[in-house]
Amino acid sequence: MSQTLLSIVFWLSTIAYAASFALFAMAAVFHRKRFLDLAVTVTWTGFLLHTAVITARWIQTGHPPFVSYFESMSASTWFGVAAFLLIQQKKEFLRVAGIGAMPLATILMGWAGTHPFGFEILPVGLQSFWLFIHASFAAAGVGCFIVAAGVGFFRLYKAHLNGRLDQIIESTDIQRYDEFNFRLVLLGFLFYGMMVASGAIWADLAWGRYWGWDPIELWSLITWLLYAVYLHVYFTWRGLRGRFLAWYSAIAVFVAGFSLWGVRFFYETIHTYGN
Amino acid sequence: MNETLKKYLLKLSSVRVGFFLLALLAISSVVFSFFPTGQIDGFSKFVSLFSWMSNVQPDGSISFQERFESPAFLALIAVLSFSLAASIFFRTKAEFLRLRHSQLLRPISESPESMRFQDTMPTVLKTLRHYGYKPLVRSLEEQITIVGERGGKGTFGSILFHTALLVIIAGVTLSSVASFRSSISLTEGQEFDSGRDSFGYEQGGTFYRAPQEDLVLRLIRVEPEYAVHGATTLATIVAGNSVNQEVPIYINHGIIRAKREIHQGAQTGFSPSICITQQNGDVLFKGFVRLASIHENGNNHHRDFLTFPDHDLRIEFEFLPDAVFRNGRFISRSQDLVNPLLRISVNRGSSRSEDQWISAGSAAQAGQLTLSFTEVRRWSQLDVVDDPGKNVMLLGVILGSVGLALRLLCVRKRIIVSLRFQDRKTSIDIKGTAEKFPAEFESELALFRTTLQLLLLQDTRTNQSDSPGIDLNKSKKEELQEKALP
Repeated sequence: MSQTLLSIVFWLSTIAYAASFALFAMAAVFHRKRFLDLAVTVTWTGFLLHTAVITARWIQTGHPPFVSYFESMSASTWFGVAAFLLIQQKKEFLRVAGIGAMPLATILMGWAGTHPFGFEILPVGLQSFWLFIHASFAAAGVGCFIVAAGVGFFRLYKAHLNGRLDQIIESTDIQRYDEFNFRLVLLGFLFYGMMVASGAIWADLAWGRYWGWDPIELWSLITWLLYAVYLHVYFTWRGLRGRFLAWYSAIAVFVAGFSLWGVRFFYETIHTYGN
Repeated sequence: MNETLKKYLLKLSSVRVGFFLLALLAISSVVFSFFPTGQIDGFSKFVSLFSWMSNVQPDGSISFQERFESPAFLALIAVLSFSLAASIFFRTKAEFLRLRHSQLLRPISESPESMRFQDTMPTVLKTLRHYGYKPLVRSLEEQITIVGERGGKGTFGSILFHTALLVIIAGVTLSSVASFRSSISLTEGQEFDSGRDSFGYEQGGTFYRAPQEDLVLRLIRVEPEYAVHGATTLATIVAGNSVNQEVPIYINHGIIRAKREIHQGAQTGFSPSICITQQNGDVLFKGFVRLASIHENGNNHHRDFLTFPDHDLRIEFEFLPDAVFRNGRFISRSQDLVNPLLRISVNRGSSRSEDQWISAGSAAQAGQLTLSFTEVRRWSQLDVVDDPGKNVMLLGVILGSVGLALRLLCVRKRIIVSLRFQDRKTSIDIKGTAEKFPAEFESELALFRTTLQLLLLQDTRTNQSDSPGIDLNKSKKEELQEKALP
C-alpha cells in the first residue's frame, strides 16, 4: 500500500472516530438507541481501517509501530479503541462510555496526523525486541487510562442526567461504572508499571543504568504515582469512590498523555523517537 | 512492643499516610523535574532562566546538588520505606491471625452440628463449592454459621507488591552506595588500563570495592554499522586482557569483562592526527585531537580547539568526513570517511590570523607554525559500570509484577450462611462481603441466593413429594438453573 493511500485510510479512520463521537453525543442528547447502535458500528469501521493502517505500516517498515510520534500516538489510540470495543461487547451498559473515550481517540489521531506520516528509519539504538515490549506496555497502559477516563466521564454525565439515559441503555447501577473505571485503572497501572520496568531493563542493557531521572522516566514515574494515589483512595475512602475518582481518572489521563508525548516539548531528554 | 511506638507505627503504616506520601512524592518529582539532572546538557537553558538565583554563579556554573540526591528527597524516600515496612509488618501479622482464625472454624466434615441440619447443610455446601467458595463452619448455641471464602490470595498479592517496592528501594540504595560508574573516550588503537590510567569520569559509591582484576581496554576499531534503512551507529571492538579477544559492543547491549560491564557510550566522533611544529623545529603538539560531535541544523559538526597559553595561541578545528564544495562553501555529504577535510583556524590574541582547509596527508603553514594533518581515526566513549544493586532491583520488579497480578485477579469475598433452628423450622440468613467491586458482588450474591433457594426447593419436593411446596413455573425454574449452574 502506498504512503498516500495509507494516509487516506488513516484520515478516514480518524473521521470515523469523530463521527462515532458525534453519534454517541447525539444518542446521549436525544436519547435515541438507534444513534447508539450506529455509533458502535461506525467505531468498528474506524477501528478496522485503523488496524489496516497499522498492519500495513508494520509490514512495510519491518518494525513495530512505535518508532515515530505518529506511530506512538496512533498505536496508543488503537489500544484504547480496542479496549473500549472489547468491553462494550461484553458489557452493553458501557457502550455509552464512548462519549468520553471517542473524543480523546479523535484528538489523539488528529494530533498524530500533524506529525510526519512518512516511514521512519528505525535508529540502530531502537533495534531491540525490548522496543516492542516497552512500547506495547506503554500504549496498552495509556489505552486503558483513556477508556477509564471515558467511563469516568460518562459516569459523571449519567449522574448529572439522573436516569434520563435509561431509554437508550439498560438501567444500570452507577456503581458498575465506578467498578469498571477502577478495573481499567488497575489494568492500566499494571501495564504502565510493566512499561517502566521493561524500560529500566532495556536502559540497563543499552546504557548500563536502569534509572537516570531523565524527564521521560521521571514523568512516567509521576504518572504511575498518580494512579497509585487513585488506587489508595479507592481502597481507603469509600465515600470518594464515585464522583471524585471519576473526575480523577478523567484528568489523570492528560498527565499520562503528557508523559508520553508532551515532555519533549518542555524538557531535553535522551529518549527520542525515530524522527 | 512499646504501646506508644506501636501507636505511631500503626499510624505510619496506614493507607492514608501512604496516600499522603505518594502524593508528596509525585508533587516533589514534578517540582524537581524543572531542575537539570546532569544526565543531559540542560544547564545552559537553566542558567538563562534562573540566573537570578544565588546558586547560579556568574560564570554559568551551578552549585546545585543533584535534586534527587538532596537530603529532603532522600528523607521522603526513607519515610516512605518506613511506612511500607510498617504496613507490610502489620498486614502480614493480620493475615496470619486471619489464617489462624480460619483454622478455628472447623471443616464441615468434622462438625457434629452438621447432623442437626443434615437436610439443609449438603445443599448449602454444594452451592458454595459450586461458586468456588471454600466452606468452613462455626457453631453457636442455636445456630450454625457456614462461612464460604474465596480470593484470599489478593491480600497476599498486595503484601507482595508492597514488599517488592521495598526491595526496589533497597536495590536503588545499594546501587547508590556500592556501585561504580565511569566513562572513558578512546581513539582507535588506544589502550586503557584501569590499574594505570584514570577514567575521564568516575563516580563510586562509599562502599564500593573495586574488583582485584584490572581491566584493560584496547579500542581496535569503531565501525559505522549500517541499518536496513541506512541509519548508522557504531560497533566498538574491545580487547580485554582477562579474555584477550576481540568483542564487538553493540549499542543495545554491553559485555562483561573483569566483573565490570562495558557499554558503548553516547558520544562518538573523529580524531584527526595533528602535528604542530614551530619554525625552530620544536614540536608544540603531536597527537590525536578528539573532536566533539555537535548536532546543529540537522547535521553533525565535528569541532574542537587547542590552546597554548604560553604562546597566546588558540587553534580551532572543524572536520568534514565527506567534504564537497557547494554554493561557495565546503559541506559534508555524509558521516562516512570518504573525503576527509580539516579546517584549521589559528588565533593569536583576539584576532584570527589564519583559516585554511587541508586534506589528510597534507600540511599547512600559519605564520611561523607548520600544521600537518596525517590521518584520521574514529573515537568512541565507553561506559564502565559495576552495579550490584540492579539484580536486587530486578528481583523487586519480578515480585512486584506477580503481586500486582495477584491483586488484580483475586478479589476477596465472603458469603456467610447462617442456619437457625427455631420452632421446628430452619431459617436461612445469607450475607456477604467483598473488598472491591460491590455492585458485581451483589449480583453474584443474588444469584447464589436464587440457586440455593432453588436447590432447597428441589430437595423439599423430592423428599416430601406429597407436600405442595412452592410451585415453580417450569420454564422459570429451567432458566434459573441455567443461570445458576452454567
